Formats: sequence, C-alpha cells, structure tokens
Amino acid sequence: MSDDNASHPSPPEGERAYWLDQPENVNLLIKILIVVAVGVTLADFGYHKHGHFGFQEWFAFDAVFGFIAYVGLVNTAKLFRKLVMRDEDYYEAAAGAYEPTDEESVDD
Amino acid sequence: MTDLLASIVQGSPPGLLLILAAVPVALLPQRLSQPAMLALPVIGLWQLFQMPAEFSQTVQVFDYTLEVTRIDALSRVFGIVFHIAAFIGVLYAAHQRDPLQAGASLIYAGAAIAAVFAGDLLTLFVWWELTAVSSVFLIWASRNERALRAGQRYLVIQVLSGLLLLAGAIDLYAQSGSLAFEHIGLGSRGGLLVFLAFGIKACFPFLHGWMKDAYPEATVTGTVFLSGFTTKLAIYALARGYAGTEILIPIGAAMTAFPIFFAVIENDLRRVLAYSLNNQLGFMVVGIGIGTELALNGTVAHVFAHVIYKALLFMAMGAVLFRVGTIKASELGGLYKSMPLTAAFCIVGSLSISGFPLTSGFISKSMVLSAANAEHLLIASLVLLFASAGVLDHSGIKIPFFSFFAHDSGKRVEEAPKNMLAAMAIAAFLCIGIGVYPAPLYAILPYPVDYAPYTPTHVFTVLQLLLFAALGFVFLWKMGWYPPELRSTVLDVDWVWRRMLPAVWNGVAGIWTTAQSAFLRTANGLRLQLLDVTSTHLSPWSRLGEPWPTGATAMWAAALLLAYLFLSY
Repeated sequence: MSDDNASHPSPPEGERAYWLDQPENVNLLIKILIVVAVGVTLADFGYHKHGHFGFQEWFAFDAVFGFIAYVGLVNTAKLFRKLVMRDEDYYEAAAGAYEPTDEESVDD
Repeated sequence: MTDLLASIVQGSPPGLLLILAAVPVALLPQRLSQPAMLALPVIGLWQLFQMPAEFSQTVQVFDYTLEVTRIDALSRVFGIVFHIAAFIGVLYAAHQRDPLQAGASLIYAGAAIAAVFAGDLLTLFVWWELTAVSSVFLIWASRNERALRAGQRYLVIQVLSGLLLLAGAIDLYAQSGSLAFEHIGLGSRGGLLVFLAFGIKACFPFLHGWMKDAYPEATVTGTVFLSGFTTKLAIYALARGYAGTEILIPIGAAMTAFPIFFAVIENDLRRVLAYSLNNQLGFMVVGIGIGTELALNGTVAHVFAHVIYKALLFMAMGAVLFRVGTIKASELGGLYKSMPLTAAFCIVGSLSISGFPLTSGFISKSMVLSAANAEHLLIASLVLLFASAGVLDHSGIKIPFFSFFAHDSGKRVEEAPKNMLAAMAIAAFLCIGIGVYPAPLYAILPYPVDYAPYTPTHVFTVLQLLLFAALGFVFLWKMGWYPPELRSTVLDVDWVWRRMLPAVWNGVAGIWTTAQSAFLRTANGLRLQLLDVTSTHLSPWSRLGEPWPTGATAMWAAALLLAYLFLSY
C-alpha cells in the first residue's frame, strides 16, 4: 500500500493521480473498516443472539474468532512455506509469459 | 407438428442437444458459430423447463433397462445451473476462433448435464467418462508442453475415476440385480468403489491433486468451464448416492480447512482459485454428510451460488492473464487503474464467495452452517467457521488485492474484451441478485425451504467474523507480517505421482537392473565353469569320452542285469 519496493516499478510518468494512491485515503478506508467492524460487534447488545452452542451467544464471539482464525491461518501458512515451498521450476521450466494464440486473438 | 416437436423435446435427455450440436456448430464460420453456441444453452434450458418436473425415460439395451433420463427436484436444479454456467462460459469465450475449444466445451457441458439426469449407473458412467475425455482438450488447448503433460496426468486420473465407477456398478449389479442410481451407501464393496470414484472427482483430501495441478494450466476460457462442471457433478452424485453418510462430515471439514493453507502461499492466482474451489467443495460435502433436508438444501443452494461466483472469479483472473500475460501474484498489482470493470466484477465475486450479506454466498453457506449447528456438530461447526475466515483471505482478499491493488506493478493494459465483461456482468448480477432475493433459488431446491437467512444473528455474526478477519489482514499487512508473494512452486499431493512414484520406480528399476546384471554375471561364470568341467571330462580324449572295448561293455551290462535280478527278489 504505502511502502514501495524495488521489484515493483512505479507507474508511468505523467499518469493522473488516483485517489487510492494517496496513503491518507487508504488510511481513511481502514478507519471506516474499523468503525463498521466495531459497530457490527456492538450491535450484539441490540438483539437476542440465537446460538446452538453456548459460546455462540457470547458477546463478540465471532469477531474474536474471526481475527484469531485469520491471523493464525496466515502465520501457520507462512511457517508451512518452509516445508512445501520450492523453486518455480521445481517440476519443469516455469511457464513463460502467456501470449494469446491465433485462435484466442480478439476482434472486438 | 407441435406434437412432434414436443415429443422430440421431451424424448431426448437434457444435454444431448449440446453434445450433438457441438462439432457442427464449432465448425461453422465465426459469424454463425458464436450466436449458435450462445443459443444452445438457452435452447437446452428451455427444453428442460418444457419437461415435467418429475420425469423418467428408459430404454432397453440387451437385458438391461437403462433410465437415460430421470428428472426430479435434485437433478433439475443441477441441470439449470449447468445450463447457466455453459451460457456464461460460451459468452466469455466468444472472442475466440478456436473450433477445438468451442466443440470441447459444449460437449463437456452437455455431458455434465446429461450425467446429472442419468437414472442408472451405466448411463452415468458413459457421461462421466465423456466429461473427462472432452474436458482434457480445454487443458491441451493451451498448446504448450506444461499443459500437455498436466492434461495427460488429469486424463489418467479422470478415467481411473470412471473405471472405479464402472467396477462398482458391476459389483452392485451382481449383488442386487439393479443398475438404478439411487442411495448407495458404504455397506457393500461396490458401494465403496463408487464412493471412491465420486471422491476422486469431488477432490477428497489426498485425491484432490489433479484439480490444482490441471485447472490452472487450462486456457483462459477453458478454466471457466472446468470450474463449473466436473466437481459439481461429483457433488451431485454424492448427494444422490451417499446423503447422510457420516464419514463425509470429517472428509468435508478437512476439505474446507487444508486447501486454505496452500491458498495463502500459492503464487499462481488461478491455482489459488483451484484451492479455493476445493475448500468450497468441502462445505458441500459436509452438507451431504449431515444429510438432513436443511443440509441438503444448503448443499444444493451452495452449488448453485458457487458455480456462478467461482466462474466469475476465474473469469476475472482469466481476463488478467489474457491482458497482462501472467497471473502470478508476484508480478501483478495496481491493475484497477487499467481494468476497473474487471476489478469491480472480481470484487463482487470475492464478496460472494466470502459470504457477505446481500450476496449469493451468504444465503447458501449459512444454510450449511445452520445445518451443522442444528445437528450439534461442534467440531465441524468450528472448522467451517475457521474455513469461512480462510475463504476471506484467499478469495476475498488475496485474489482482488494482489492483482488489482497492492503495489502498483506499473503494468498498464487494456480493459478485458467486451464479451468477457458481459459474461462477468451477468455472473456478478446473479451473485447479488440471488443474495438480495433468494426466493427463486429456494423455490427450486430439492426440499421445501423453511429458512430465513437474514436474521440479526446471521447477519451480525457473519459480518463480525468477516470484518475482523479483514482487520486481521490490515494488521498483518501494516506490520509487514503478511507473507510476500514469491515466485515458487508449492508442493502438494501431486508430488506423490510427479516425483515420489517416479523416484520409487527408478529406484526399483535400478535395483532390478543391478540384480539382473549380478545374476547374469554369476550365471555366466557358472556356465563357463560347467563348460570347462564337461569339456574336460566328456571330450573325446578324456577318460569318460574315449571309446570303450565291446567286451568290457558286455561285462558291465551283465553285471547290471544280475544286480537287477537280485533286487527283484
């Protein structure tokens, strides 16, 4: 989002500025996300939750579960990389750039 | 005349039209073939709607009664969504002039449709194998070495699934004297064989390798077709033959959970979608395993929603591949600037698969989750909840974020062709339409629906789960802890047959060769020694070989006869 890195070339010169390119706009979106997320959690006070299991009726159960499940999943997968990640050409030469064949050419 | 037309319409199995018309239509000039191809799924769907909701047609082949067409509530809904998928796929491919893909995709779609209307196992087998044989051309049509080999591996496994189905069907026939495709269950050897055949195509854990291997190697348009039919045909077959089979609950739960770890670290975004497809199949398999009316309705609704949003996601990623020339996350980013419509449609697909309220995924997945809750399946419920958060990562965030946003890759391309945009627009419209107004979908489910998706509990718990998972992403990304996209190969179970089995084979062959040459060396040595001994003692000049005098010979003969005489007393 904000930090540029060398392997990612910057946009062409003279291109118009995009709203999302401004870090403060991205931060605004994140703030909106936080407000909405907190809002739907506080909504728990506003209705009677129906759960088949007791814990499902706890306040903010799904919010906490969602956050922990997500962070846990991504970090586990990161560790998992050590075990299953190999070079791109492990099986055979990596696929070259895709180019439409004659059959796939567009005429619109 | 109308009677004749009506009898033809009602007499032929749905799907047959697509199969028979495929080759002639594909060979027409482009100007004629594209409208004709678009018309075929529409006519097919019309034909299906003309037929009664409950219908059966049998033909007599030798001593067997084959039910070539069986329409009931379960097969009908699959038939409807397969026609929709065929139409969307054909529209998405309409810019192409490739008779091979055109013909193969129509035959494939037709075979899948005919298969869900097969009332007996032999008819099912025929269409089952035709889906395999026709669909492989959508992989081979990439016309490169990788695709050629991936297609070969795919075909072997698909045909194997068919052979298991045939063997199981024969065994069941020998036991019961019937080929009818009704509830089968795991109580017999034939039942187990058929279960395995279905399990391969449904991507059960450890049987799933073919899908993540082959689908991402297919053509831009081919993958869209592939994502729709084969696996969902297997889901149909499981729902028909194994509803309520409890082992399917842990199998399905494992399917929802395992692929998401691979999806997080896979770089090829179409392969990420293949893992995501596997995860979605898990929800359906769990529903079949639970087997209650709510669960089966949930499974079928989820198939319907999934076929459309999955096609949408594969179409969006296909459009990126088509325009940019790569679909590796490590090479992409910032494409919303050049492909804004594709990005928007992709986001609709992502919201749907994640199950946000007002999208099709919400109204279908929540049925399966509610069914698991209703049966008090604690572990399954928690795994499905975990998997729902996982879906948000790979399909909800990773797919749109790394292709259209993230770091700007500096790549500037054209927006997708108009026909692709039209196909994506239809799919996106259906995703939202079904989510906002699910009544028409609920009306065609196999059982009466007594389910309200939009209760405060459903809406707020789902939003909490998804939004806080999204915050988890923001947190990891901001901290720089989100795993970077890397050019890489992620090993999976297909490693077993791509590396391990060949290595074992080469090892065994090596041992065999060594043993063989050692044996030959020893044997040759012995042979030479034997030759040496015999040539020494039996040669004309040796002690045994030299001529004996007649008298001595007669003497020995007399002695032998005498000895024989004694012994006989």
